[in-house]
Amino acid sequence: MITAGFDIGTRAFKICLVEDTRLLSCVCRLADRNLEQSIRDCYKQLLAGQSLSRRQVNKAIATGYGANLVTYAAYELSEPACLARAAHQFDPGLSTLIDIGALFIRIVKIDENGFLEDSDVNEPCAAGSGKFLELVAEALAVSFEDISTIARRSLRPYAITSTCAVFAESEIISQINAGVASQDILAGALDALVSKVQALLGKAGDIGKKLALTGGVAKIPALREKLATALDKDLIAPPLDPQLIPAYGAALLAQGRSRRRP
Amino acid sequence: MVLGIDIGSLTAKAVILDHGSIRAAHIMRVRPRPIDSATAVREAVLKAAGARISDIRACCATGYGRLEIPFATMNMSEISCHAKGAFWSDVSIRTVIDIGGQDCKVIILDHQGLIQDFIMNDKCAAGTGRSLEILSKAIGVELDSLGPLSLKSRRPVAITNKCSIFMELEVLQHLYRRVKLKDIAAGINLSVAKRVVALTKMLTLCPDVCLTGGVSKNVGVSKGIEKLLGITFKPLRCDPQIMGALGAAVFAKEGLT
Repeated sequence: MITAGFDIGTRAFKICLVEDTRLLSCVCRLADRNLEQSIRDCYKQLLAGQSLSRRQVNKAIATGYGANLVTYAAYELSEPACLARAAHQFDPGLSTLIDIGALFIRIVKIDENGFLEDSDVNEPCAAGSGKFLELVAEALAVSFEDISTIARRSLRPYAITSTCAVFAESEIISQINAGVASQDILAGALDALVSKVQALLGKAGDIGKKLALTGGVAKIPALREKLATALDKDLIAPPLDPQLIPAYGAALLAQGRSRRRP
Repeated sequence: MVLGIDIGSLTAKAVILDHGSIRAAHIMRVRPRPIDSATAVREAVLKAAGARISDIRACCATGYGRLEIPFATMNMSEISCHAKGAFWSDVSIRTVIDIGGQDCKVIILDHQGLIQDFIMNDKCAAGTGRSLEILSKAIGVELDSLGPLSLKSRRPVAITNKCSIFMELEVLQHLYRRVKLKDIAAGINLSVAKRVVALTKMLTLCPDVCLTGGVSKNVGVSKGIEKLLGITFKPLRCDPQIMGALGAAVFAKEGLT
């Protein structure tokens, strides 16, 4: 059976095509002004790439902030549900998932049977979010891919004093003018993200032993290292693009079968 | 003649007082370094006044860059300067609501113009000029047109988020749904008004109330606050954006006597 999973995030949208539990094809694009049309076009291309017609897709499920834009999905599901399903697929022993997107950080706790136990999300404030990191990188004219390499060079991370992401951007511009090095500012921004995750985890209670890090921000190795050090725990990397996990989970849930061990 | 300079986060303001009346005033965008902004705005205001540096007997600086201006003979906090400027222009003022580029403050004065109480938000961009700037950019409307455009709206959209970056997302969602620009503009102005009103609730406002700072020029925001608070702002006899610089100039003058 072929199913589709849509994850319409605040910064990017992702689509996964799945046959049983196998990922057939996937796409991840930045959201634009004509979001609804872009999603439609990408879906079409994805199907064409697999020589499939829309009718051959048995079921589609959408998740994410803009899930309602996917009118052709059977229904919408919450991100934690999709994350938990995908996590259980790639490692049944996982206890907690940390998903860091552009604006939302989610802590998803999974019970021993692979069911969603509990989840938490940050307050709607962009301080220390992925978007905040992006604003900082933009101000420094550093591309997303280079964040890790540059931040790792820092010996003295600059502690950003502004709590607000918008104000942090202007604070950073004045720090650049004052001669603070890019690597120190970037490392400081990563630290801000880590402390935000830690604050959320602090409220989560027992998070178990096996943790995984997913979401677009998980693609920054330096962040993974900093977070692992701060938590003093191993952070498992999913076997596929960490940004695709919720979309993959949505497609798996669309398969509608009971959860089996792979 | 005395000079008052206010280096804000987005604009630099200067006022020249001559024998107790405003001789000239100037507003410009800030340069990266406060000292450059201060020098440029001083030059511009001197030109407008037809005066020379030697004509200035004292200069007081305020604003976040106030400590980095070598030619200032003194400096005062923004709270003091806004209170001073507003009370100097109108002695009936008891409350000053100032909405600047990166902060928002509410100051309560007594009948002598002395500060009784104040509250300030400079931790979060919501309810400041920056929020308006981000959101107007998101919908592709000039910052200056946001006020007039919003007045045409009869059904402002509801913006529920408090963080400017989340608001941007919400505004974009309205754009995707092809909501009329004027209704989004009105929603944006109301969202800033709501944050300011939330701040004023922490104090007891006394009439007359005046609105100062760059954002006070946005008629959508000012009318929004008036409606939410059920008050009418006292109109000021000079540009509400120069209030801080004016207060600084008054302090400079008082420092001479």
